[in-house]
Amino acid sequence: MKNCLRVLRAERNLSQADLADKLNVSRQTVNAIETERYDPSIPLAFKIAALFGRSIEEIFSSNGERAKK
Amino acid sequence: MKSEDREATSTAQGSLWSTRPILLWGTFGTKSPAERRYIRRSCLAAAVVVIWALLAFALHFRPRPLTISIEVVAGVAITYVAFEGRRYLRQLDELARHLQLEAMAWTYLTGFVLAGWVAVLAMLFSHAIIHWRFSQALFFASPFLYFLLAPVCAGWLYYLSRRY
Repeated sequence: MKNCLRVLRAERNLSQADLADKLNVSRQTVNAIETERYDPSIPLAFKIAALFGRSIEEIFSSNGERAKK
Repeated sequence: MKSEDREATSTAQGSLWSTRPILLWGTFGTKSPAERRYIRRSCLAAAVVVIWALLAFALHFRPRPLTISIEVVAGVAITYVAFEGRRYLRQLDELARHLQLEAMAWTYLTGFVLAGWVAVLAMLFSHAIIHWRFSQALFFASPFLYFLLAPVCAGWLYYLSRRY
């Protein structure tokens, strides 16, 4: 699953550790999601979407299509 | 070094999980209170079993109730470790929990395969090596095989965590 988490994080000048703290997960989890090695659970995806004020579809997309920015 | 650079470096170098705590304790080395509690209490439970077994060994497994009590103590200790493991798992974040559960699943399958092969070898060489006293010893040692699976689980956790 593709995502634009790294871009959104960079826009807000957050480190992976900062984002991990806000989401209440480990930095490894944030890194794994950003590098598209791990797909987050639906509750975590909702949390990420709420944090960035976007919809899930705007952040995550299937491999076929790019995540909307 | 900026945090972004540090993140890029750590990603390029491979896994972000520390190797030592994974191989030593089967945990991620986050030093969270839950992890410390799990390690401390698991070690305590294992120590009680080992001390109990050594005591029985020193007394040549007499009297009989002492020998039986080893099995009971081992059973209770394993149950307690499993209970603490469940508490520890509940404290983990989703990726760490996912990895731990996957490692446990692979450990289960590894144990299943090993048990199958032990059964095959026992069948093949039963006349040579299996006799009543050996079978008794194997039965007596069976709860302790649980502890042998801990390093297998740690090995699987290490292998799986290299993906992230």
